[in-house]
Amino acid sequence: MTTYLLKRLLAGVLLVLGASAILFFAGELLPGDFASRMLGSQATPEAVEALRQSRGLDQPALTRYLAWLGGLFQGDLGTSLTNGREIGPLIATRLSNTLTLAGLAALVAVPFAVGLGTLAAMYRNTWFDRLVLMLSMVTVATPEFFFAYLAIAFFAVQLHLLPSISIVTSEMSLAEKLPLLILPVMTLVVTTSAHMIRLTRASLIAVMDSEYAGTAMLKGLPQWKIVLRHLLPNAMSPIAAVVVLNLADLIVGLIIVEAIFAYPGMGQLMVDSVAKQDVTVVQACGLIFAVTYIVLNMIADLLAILLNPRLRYRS
Amino acid sequence: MSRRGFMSTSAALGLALGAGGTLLPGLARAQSETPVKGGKLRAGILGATSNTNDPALRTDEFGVMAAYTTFNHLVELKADKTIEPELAESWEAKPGATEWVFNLRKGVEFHNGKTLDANDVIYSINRHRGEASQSGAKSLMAAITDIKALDSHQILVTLDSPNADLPFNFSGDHLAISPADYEDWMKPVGTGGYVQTSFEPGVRATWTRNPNYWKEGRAHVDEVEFLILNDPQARLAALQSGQIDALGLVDPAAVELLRGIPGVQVVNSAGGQFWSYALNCRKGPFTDPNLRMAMKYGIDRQKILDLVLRGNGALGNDQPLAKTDPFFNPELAQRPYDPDQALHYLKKAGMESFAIKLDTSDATFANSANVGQIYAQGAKKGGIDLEVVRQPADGYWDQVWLNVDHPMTTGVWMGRPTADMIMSMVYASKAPWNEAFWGNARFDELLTSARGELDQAKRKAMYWEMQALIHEDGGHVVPVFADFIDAYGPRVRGLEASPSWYLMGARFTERVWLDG
Repeated sequence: MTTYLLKRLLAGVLLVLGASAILFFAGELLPGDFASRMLGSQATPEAVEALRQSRGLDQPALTRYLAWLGGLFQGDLGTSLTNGREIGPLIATRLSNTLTLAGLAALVAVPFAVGLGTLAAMYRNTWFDRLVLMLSMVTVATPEFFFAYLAIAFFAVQLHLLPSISIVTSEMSLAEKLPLLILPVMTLVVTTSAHMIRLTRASLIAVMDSEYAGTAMLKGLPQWKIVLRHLLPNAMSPIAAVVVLNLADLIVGLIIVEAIFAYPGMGQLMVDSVAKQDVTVVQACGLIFAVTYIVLNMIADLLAILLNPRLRYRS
Repeated sequence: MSRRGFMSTSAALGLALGAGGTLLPGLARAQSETPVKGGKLRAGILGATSNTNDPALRTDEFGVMAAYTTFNHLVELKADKTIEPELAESWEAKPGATEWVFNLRKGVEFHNGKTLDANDVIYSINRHRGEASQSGAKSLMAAITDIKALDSHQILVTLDSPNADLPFNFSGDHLAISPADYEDWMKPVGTGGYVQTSFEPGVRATWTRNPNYWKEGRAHVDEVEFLILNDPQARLAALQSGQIDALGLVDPAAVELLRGIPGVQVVNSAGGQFWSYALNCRKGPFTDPNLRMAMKYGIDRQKILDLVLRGNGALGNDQPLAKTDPFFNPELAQRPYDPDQALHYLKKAGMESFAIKLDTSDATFANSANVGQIYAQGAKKGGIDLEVVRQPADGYWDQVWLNVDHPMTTGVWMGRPTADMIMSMVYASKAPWNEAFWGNARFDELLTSARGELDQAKRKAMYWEMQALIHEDGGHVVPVFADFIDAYGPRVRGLEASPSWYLMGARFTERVWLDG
């Protein structure tokens, strides 16, 4: 168990290192240059060169990569190319905004999806089950920007009920932020739930046909008790895995929703920085996304082991 | 009256028009109302986390709009493209126009309580000069050899060559006046109508009214808020749902939709913004003037104006000055779309047909690839086989545009306060952005003499000849001038058109007021 954990951890660190190298050198390959982009129609060669030098871009790429990596180990994410400000504090606010949004979405989406999936499994092959399956199919197949625009058109433009722009600031209290968050959270819940619903349903149905489920039924236990006490715990392992992976998708996949609602999170920061070719910020964001994904993946694996005694004792 | 004539006349009168050419009721009312104080003006502005209040490094729509909200400049550009005093009360060129004296306004206070004097102005201008300057206005200020204070409220600017338009250079957004040695750009200090109260780059910025503002009859609202909105649909939705009151850079494709929404006021401003196709005059086929002529006759400008701009603009005539420019030459006949003429010039160049690649990119203007296709369709009848290449937006300006190995590229120009600026930037043989690599000795000579000429009649004759030279011989195909299109919510009053930029030449925050 411990060796397995250590191995997973080591693999995680190596993965992060690999991701950092890919991110850095992919950034180098991007065509164009932040300085001429930033100066726009005023970009004379001298002004571009002066700006590039002031940001240390005259150093070779490998030197800059090693310096960046060294900084990372000391918790320093570097400075932005375009405005020369430190990236750390900038990302801190943005990350907390993203985590707030993703957290709220998860808080609604997970119980909603697992509950709906369980109900669908219990009433397998009824009209209710078919409706849930069909709707989840539709939401899986429709891109999230479509739902976002649909929600804006209906709730903001037509009904004037909710704001279409979700710009939150650090001075706002949670009560002030909440109404601004309703539309983005709604969009995220709709688009992330489908996968979880379908997997919950499938996992439950797989254990429903087992002999112990039959035995429990013959004992005369009510159906809800069978599902809660016997079936869900046994189906938990794949469900937990898909929930955690969906959380990772939620955090990393916020980019589009944040851009549409102008929500000041990591995704919007990344879109912004790509447009301005602010490579150092893009790299920092990319690395944080990579770490998030790798850590949540590890958690999914660990949960699978903890929830499944066979895996737990094998190693 | 033709639609085009109608549009430009109405813009000159400072009116906004609905789809059918009728005055919007809100605007009709605005004409007779007197400004009222109060309220919070919210605008949707394009921006990014790279935004700064630093006048030297500001970028994007945010940078320009914020400049005229926080700061004042030495002079103010008016809607008729003349200038009026702002922080400079008066100015005068010494004979020869290489030395200029500016008299500064007295008793003007900065937001931090400091009183404006010559040192502040000299500091603010010097930030854009010198080797180490990273300023976007560096080339604009390069002709200045010396600035000194004659007394506490008078400065002398010395140039390396005569320039009759020098005061215009001080109206630009970079030339904002801040206190001497001021550098804390997260908390900018200016003399403008509003004091910045919060600034979160790429998210939001807020201002409150400057209680000591020196300018009479300006800066009417209590609070200004810029929300950084970049997604085109989100911008429109925010206006429709009433979360913002003002929006610049409206896509022509969305104009009809906006005009149909009750309460939304759309303002068109005819101005100097034009699209360009640069024909490389230094290398490749377009060194032959006949082929350049063929390209100029092979473009169906009217179709581009109708289909892409949906009428929100004017036809281009292969030269850079719009009708709104005081030096516009009305004697140059509008070049028609004439495939037979194109064929005629191909024959003169010794060709039956001609194939060429046109580089376009979304980095220039929206739908640039589609506009290229319209060009290609029309050109086909003139024996020209135009292959439209859509280049990625990343790197277009650095690697494709202004690259002598590309025979034909797409560009876009915002227009400049003076004829001299746009011609010096793009058409002089040594111009930094001579995208067509065009060189003409007579033109260069005229440009230098016109710049130093203080006699307006003589200058006019020179600028007219220069336009004719570009029109006939130049490497530019100018299909259309695109209007600046703004949209406002129902509460905004005091709207006017401005030929210099979006949202009243970026001065909307100090000019509009809110109703109720």
